[in-house]
Amino acid sequence: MIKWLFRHDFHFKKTLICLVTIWVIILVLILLVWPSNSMLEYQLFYEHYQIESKVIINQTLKICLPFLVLIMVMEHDQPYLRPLFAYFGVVKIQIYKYIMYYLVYSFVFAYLIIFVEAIKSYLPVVFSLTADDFNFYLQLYLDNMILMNMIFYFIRDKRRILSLLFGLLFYFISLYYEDSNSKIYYLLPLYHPHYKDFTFAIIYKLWYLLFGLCLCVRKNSMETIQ
Amino acid sequence: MSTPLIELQNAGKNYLNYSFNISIKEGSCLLVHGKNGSGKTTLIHLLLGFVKPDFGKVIKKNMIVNYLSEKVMLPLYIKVIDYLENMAKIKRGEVDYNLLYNFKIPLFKGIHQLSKGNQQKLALATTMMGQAKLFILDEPLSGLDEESINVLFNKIKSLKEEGSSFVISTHQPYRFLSIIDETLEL
Repeated sequence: MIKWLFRHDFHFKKTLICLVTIWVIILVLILLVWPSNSMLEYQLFYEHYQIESKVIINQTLKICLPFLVLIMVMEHDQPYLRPLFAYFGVVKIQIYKYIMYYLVYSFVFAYLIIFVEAIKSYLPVVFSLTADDFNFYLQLYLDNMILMNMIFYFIRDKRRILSLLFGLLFYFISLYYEDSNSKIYYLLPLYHPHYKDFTFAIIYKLWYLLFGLCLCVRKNSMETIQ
Repeated sequence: MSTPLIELQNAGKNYLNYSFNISIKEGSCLLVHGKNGSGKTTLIHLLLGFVKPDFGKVIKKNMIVNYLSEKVMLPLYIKVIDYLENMAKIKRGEVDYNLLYNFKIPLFKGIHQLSKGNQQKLALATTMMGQAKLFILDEPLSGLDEESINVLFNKIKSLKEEGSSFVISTHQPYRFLSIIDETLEL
C-alpha cells in the first residue's frame, strides 16, 4: 500500500520539482559559504569563519526545509483516494499515507544532510560532527514533521495553497525564537536556542508529534468526506 | 432470507426533509433516482459511511465496498496499465482484460491523455476489481457511449449472478430496467 501511494503521489513531475528544490537548497548553501577570501585570512579568523559558516548553513536549512516539506506534502489530500476509503476504510488509508510521507521526508532529509556535511568537508575550516550538530539536525527533523502534521490536519484538497501560511508561520516563529526566551515554545516546540539543551526538549517534541498524529487520525475518522 | 448488508433505519441529514429506510440485501440491485439536489449523493455517502447521519441509524455488515464516485477520481500522471495492475495488487484482485478489451480503453496512454469517457470506463474497470460484495455506483453512465453501456450492463449482470449487490444512482432510470430489483425515487 505504501508503495502504491508513493507511486501515485510522487509522480514524475512532483519528484522532479522536489529534486530541483533540493538542488537549489544545496546550491544556495554552496554559494553562501563558499570561500571568497584568501587562505591566510581564513587562518587568521579561523574560529570566526567556522562559527559564521555554521550559522549560515543552519539558518539556510531552517528557512528552506519547511518549503521543501510544503512542496512534498501540500497535495496530500488527493481525490483519487476516495474510492479506496470505501474499500479499505478511511483510517487505514490515511495511516499508510502518513507513514509514506514520513518515510519520504526521512529519506529526503538524510539526503540533504549528507550533502550539507559534504559541503562542510570542502570548506577551508575543519568541521567535525558534534553532539550539538546532531541535536540541531534532530530538532530540525522533528520540527518539519510537526509542520507535516499541521498540514495533514488543516489542509484539504481545495485549500492546499493555504499550506504556504504554515511555511511562513514556521519561518517567522523561528526568527522570533532567535531573540526571545518565550514561553510560546510550549505551544509550538520548534527549535529554540534557549530550550535546545533541555533534557526533555526532544521527548516533549516527540510527544507533541505523536499527539498531533493522533489528532489527525481522529479527525480523519470523524470528518465528512466530500 | 438473506441478511441485509446495509440497513438505514430512519437515517438522514438535517438539510433533507425526509429520512431513509432502506435495506440492501445480498445479490440485489437498488436503483436510486430523482431530481438534482434530492439527496441521491447524500444517501450514497450515508451508505459508505462518508457522512454520519444527524438522526437515525446505519447498520452495516463488516464488508468490502467498491465505490464509483460521481466525479471521476483518478491519479493523472500514470499509465493506464500501471494503474490497473497496481490497483489489482492492492485490492488483491485481477485485471479483467476482457472488460478492458470490450471497453476499448487505450492501455499504454497516461490517464491525463484519456478522454472523459475513457476515464469513466477506467474508473468503472477499477471499481469492478477486487473482492467486494457491494458495489455503489454514482452516475455510472456519465460520458459512456451505447456500446460501453451494454458492456457495463453485462458485467453488472455477471457480478450479480455471483452474488454481488449494487446500489446505482442515476438520472436515466429507464436504461437500467433489465438489471434492477428495486427502485427508490427521491
